[in-house]
Amino acid sequence: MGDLISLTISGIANGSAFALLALGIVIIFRSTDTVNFAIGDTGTLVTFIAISAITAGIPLAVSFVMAILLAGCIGVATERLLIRPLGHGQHLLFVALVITIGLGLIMQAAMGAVWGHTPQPFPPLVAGWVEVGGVAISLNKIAATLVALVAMALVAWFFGYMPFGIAMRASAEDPFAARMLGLNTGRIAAIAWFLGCGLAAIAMLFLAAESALQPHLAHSPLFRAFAGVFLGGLTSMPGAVIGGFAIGVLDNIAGHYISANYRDTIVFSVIVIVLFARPAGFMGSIRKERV
Amino acid sequence: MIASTGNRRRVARAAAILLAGLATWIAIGPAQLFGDYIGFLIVAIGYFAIVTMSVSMLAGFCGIWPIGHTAFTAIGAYVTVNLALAGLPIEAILPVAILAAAAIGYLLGMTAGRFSILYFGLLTLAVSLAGFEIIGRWEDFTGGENGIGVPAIASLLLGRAIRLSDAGGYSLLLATLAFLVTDFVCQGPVGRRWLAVKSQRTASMAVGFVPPRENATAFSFSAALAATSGSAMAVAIGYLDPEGFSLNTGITMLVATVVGGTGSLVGALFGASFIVGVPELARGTSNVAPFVYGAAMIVVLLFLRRGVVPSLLNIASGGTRGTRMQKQPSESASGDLAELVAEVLPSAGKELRIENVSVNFGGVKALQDVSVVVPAGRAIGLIGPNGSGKTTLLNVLSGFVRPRAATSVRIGDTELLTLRPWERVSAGFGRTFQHAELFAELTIRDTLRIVARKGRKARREAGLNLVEPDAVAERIIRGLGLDNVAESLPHSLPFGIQKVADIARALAAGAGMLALDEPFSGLDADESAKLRAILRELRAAGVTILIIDHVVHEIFDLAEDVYVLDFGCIIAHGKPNAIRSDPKVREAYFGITEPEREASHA
Repeated sequence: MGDLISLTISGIANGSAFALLALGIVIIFRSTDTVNFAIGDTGTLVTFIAISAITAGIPLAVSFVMAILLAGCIGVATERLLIRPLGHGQHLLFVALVITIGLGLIMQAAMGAVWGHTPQPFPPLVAGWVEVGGVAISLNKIAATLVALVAMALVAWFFGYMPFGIAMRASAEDPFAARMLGLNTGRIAAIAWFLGCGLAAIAMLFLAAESALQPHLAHSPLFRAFAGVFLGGLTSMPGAVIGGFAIGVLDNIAGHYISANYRDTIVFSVIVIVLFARPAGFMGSIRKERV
Repeated sequence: MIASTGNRRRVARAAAILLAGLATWIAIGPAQLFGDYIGFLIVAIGYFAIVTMSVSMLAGFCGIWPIGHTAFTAIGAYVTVNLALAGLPIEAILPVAILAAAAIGYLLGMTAGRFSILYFGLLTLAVSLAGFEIIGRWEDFTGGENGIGVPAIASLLLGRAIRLSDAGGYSLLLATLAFLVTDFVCQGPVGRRWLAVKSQRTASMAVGFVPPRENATAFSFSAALAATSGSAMAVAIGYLDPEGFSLNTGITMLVATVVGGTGSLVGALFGASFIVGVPELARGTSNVAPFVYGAAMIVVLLFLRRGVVPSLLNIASGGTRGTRMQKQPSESASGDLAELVAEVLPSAGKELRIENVSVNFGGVKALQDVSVVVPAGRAIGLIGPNGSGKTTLLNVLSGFVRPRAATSVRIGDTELLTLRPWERVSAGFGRTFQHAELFAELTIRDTLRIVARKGRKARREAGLNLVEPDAVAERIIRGLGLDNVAESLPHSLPFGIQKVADIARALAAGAGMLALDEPFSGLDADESAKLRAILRELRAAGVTILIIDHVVHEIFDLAEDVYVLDFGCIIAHGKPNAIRSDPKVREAYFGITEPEREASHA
């Protein structure tokens, strides 16, 4: 039982990165119907830039903030240059996704070319360990969880109380009506991509501090984030966050009790079962298509 | 005549594939034109072309994009190795590998309809990630991370073990066969059904196609192709490395598909050459391939959306495909429709009886205790303001909406409510759509042919002379005056003709009762007149018709009886003249009652 509690706690800590990525994926999807496969690589790329900045003597906090803002700008540029020219339409859903896969390939290759493929150590924000229920958890991970929670709270505040955030939610519900009301959908898309990629940058900064930095760092967390999005539903922001945390816990428990060798398989099997029961996830909605 | 041209084209394509396969084999095998290394690259293009084709046909013909088809190449490859270790000959191994992949593919494909295309793509990704992990860990079957060598495989046909020198021939043979079979399947009725389901899932159900089954067969076929590629790969390379089935490889297949162009055989070959060629050309400079792949994907999708090969073909043919052509239909061969109906409809003239149907959406009562009778061979109108429940009733008839309560909905003696949407057309229920909803990638002729196959059994049982689908299609084309437009794609046709083609499609399916959803909306006066003439003749020929429309005067003109729906209830029913002057109807439509009107005049 003690195991279970400690596994849950460390799972939640791991899950905070998945939850941030998942939230970013959902924010972007709601604004432009695009699943951004390059979101993790965008985060990794700015993490590399941050480490170069730190090496060059720029203070850690400044480097981090710069990295997050830069990720947001990359997101905005992606939407402007690669996604918007495609136009709109159901059949473009997958075209947009494949384009971001292409972008991810380029980013990974670029990181490999500039910084190499050997893992690089990354300075942890907070050094030290703390014992929770018999399991050692790094202070870094706890800090990451706290920062993730703060970021999510900010996002919730933005979408819940800020006029522009409310307008963005309205636009996601009905883009046509939003345009009729004079909302600037171009600006909405830009802000969504900025926020989404910025959140991904926070996630990747902490994942790098947790392990080490290498061009394919986003690979595994991104798919766990997708699993979280599956669980919560592609259209629900709270769903994505809860889904991300749930995957972190599930991953940990499955790795401990069933088999550490088959973590992906177990996580994805659960997702598949959930999808059969609820194709839209637990909190998502299936978009009504006209019959 | 046209049918034989089509067959001749298919034979020519098959001959071209065979010749190309044979020529390649002679070039790298007996003739040794290129030397071993180039020869091996050509073989690699061969087996990559098979798996690219498996992704490409799924994307092009079904709109399903599998991100992780590596799971199925892995099944093909590892089954080949393990059965070879057990001493089985290749002639026994290959069918087992193909069947295993096809069976798993079928199960996965059945679920495609439950999800959006996006979710399904991500689901295949999950399958491939899990598959990759299993490959890395299941050492008895795969050799784990270290990989596994392919043993000597016996061949009954050769009468000896396959040597390394035979391996290229094996790959090319499989590639040639795979291309032949894929071309046969995709250019034939099955491929057309896939295209129909892809472009109009709803309308395809209304003519009797079963989307989940079509998706499942397509995915199963695609998985079988991928497994074939895996088997060829195993024999040609002689060693299986788990990396060959990683997500990166899966994405490379996506690159090949996107670059070559979906749904195109030549495109698959081009795409496979691209993913084999780029790393070769970039040898020495590390990491160039991913740059090129990523850039190629983005550039092709932004500028040559359909892929290199289809876009080039389009340019070569002068860009005529897809351009808008105004075509005049030939004048409807008037007076001919009675004959047409007698020749092609197995069961003209059945009564439609809707009894006490109620539908709720949440708390909204969309239909309350609605009963409508359309007597055999008559035309009945159903009118009502927006939101009155007309479309909901049609969706109940089609099987897309399940009523909360209903006594029955019958065609003749057949109860429709217990039937699935796609089973209803065999009972004689046919419908048209407000926006025609024709199959976007099929010509009118192909649409009618493929739909007429669904009506073949019913026509035979009814003892009709005209049973063969192609003949039925030609008869309907002639009868409805669609000759000049039969070879056109729907989007190039004026809306009025699309609506006639929609009726033609329902007739081809063998529906003796037609429910028409706003047939006159969006038509100009000329088009309306033509459609009205067709509907009059169909009615005179004994087809039972239910017209649902806003255009009230058209309904008054055609229908013998009119029902009026408002807020989910039938508020009036009677002869058109009586309905015209019914105060309740006037109130529903104009929002004012007679006394008020008089008062306002006074």
